[in-house]
Amino acid sequence: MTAGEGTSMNVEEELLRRCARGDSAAYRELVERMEKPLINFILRFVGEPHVAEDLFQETFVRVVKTLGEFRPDASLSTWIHTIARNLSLDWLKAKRRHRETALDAATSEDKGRVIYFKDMLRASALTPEARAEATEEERRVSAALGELSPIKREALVLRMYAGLQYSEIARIQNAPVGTVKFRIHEAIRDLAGLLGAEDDRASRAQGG
Amino acid sequence: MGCTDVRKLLPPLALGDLDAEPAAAVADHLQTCADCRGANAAIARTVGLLRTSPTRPPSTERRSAVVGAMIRAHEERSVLLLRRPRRTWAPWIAAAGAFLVLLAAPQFRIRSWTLQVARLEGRADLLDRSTGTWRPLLAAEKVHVGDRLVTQPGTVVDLADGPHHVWLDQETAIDVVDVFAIALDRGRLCVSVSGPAVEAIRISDISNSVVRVPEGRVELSLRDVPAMIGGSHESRTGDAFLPAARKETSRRLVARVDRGVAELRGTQDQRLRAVSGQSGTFDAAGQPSTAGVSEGAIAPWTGSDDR
Repeated sequence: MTAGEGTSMNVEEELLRRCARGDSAAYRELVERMEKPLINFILRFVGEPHVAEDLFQETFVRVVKTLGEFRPDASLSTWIHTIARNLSLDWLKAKRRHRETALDAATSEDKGRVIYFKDMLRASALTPEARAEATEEERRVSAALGELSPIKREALVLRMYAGLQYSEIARIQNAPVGTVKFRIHEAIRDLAGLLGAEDDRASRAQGG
Repeated sequence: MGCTDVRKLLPPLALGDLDAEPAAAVADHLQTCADCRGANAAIARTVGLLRTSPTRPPSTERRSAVVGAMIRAHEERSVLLLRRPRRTWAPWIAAAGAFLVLLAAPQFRIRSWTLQVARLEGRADLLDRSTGTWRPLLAAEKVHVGDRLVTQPGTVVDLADGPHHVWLDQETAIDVVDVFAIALDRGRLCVSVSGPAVEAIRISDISNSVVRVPEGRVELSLRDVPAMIGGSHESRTGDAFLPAARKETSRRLVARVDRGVAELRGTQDQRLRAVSGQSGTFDAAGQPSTAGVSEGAIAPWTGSDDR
């Protein structure tokens, strides 16, 4: 551990101690420290801005409720991102259950699993309202992200939008660092292919 | 190094994950291979798009809401810890004690509050805080203190508890924070309290303004008002700085009274009373203000009109 990491850990531990005492200034400090990477991670994961803000809030409520479960061997950001990821997955599952109930109550388990992944893929793309606010580039990237497999997309989003280290993502995904790197590299290659294919379609459409 | 190997190394190269030696080998290959140069340009462009993709911080209001929710969670947790039994026989003693207290003093009641879903049109999600999971709200389901509810577009929910009714409009988020107390984070709701000697309902917003409804029917909503942020300050050497004031919006709790009365308390303990046919709020400077409400303007969404 470097001196910088050690200092950062001490600052985080002190912050958590203050949080455990119910210090509202510490809560604000914690939120401001984590907000940007966290909200972007959740937004890219669930795709709905209002839901992302609710899940963002719930993540911090869970942090307060489970402060005693935090193990100092993990970084604070890893722990909080893990909570956010689990809440986001729960929300996606609930959404899937709701849709399944509405569509077909007699869906088999295997079929259900297929819908689940499809749902997750769709969910990552921004909703129509959010899409209207986004720039053209953002819309294209968001749509392409929705085509990636969930595990690759999660790794990529944690790296590029939440700015997490490979080792932190490895903890969250419970996978070796090498596997995480492989997933991210594959995700970038897939994304480049998807964006390139879209460019080709657009230029063909213009040509024709 | 052949094209296949080079293609595998393009993403780590773009991310800066490649060691010097393989990076140099890839660079050598790219100088001689036009196809791989094209592939490398596509990868580099993709990484560039991801890196420059705009990141949005949560709104100031949401940040305050998060801190408020954390404080409430800490308070709930402290209460739970205090209630936690230390001995295995402690629950029995506690139960016997509670039974005796209930027998001896009927005025002491265990404080809890349950609202039942009397009507559900559309879809709402409920967060079960004990398990931390979201699930769709069901018809006739019971909502307890600690639950969070979020209604989806086009949804209306009617929550009832005898003399109390709480209607939630579409795209509304609430926390049932305490007995007869609800925190409104987003959207609009309508409360109705009827009958003699009935407990008042309290609605709070994220800045902790509170509206108490002892009787009648009142619509509560959050309204964005323009607020000026910023002003001059002095440095340690005495130089005055004049940072440009920013115009932002601030969210205010607005009570529109159809029947009965609404008692408002602001963040600086300002008080305001709005009666039937009036709306009451605190302006951007925190000053209390009332205005008239035209008849039939309150809570027009389906289901809330119980007159």
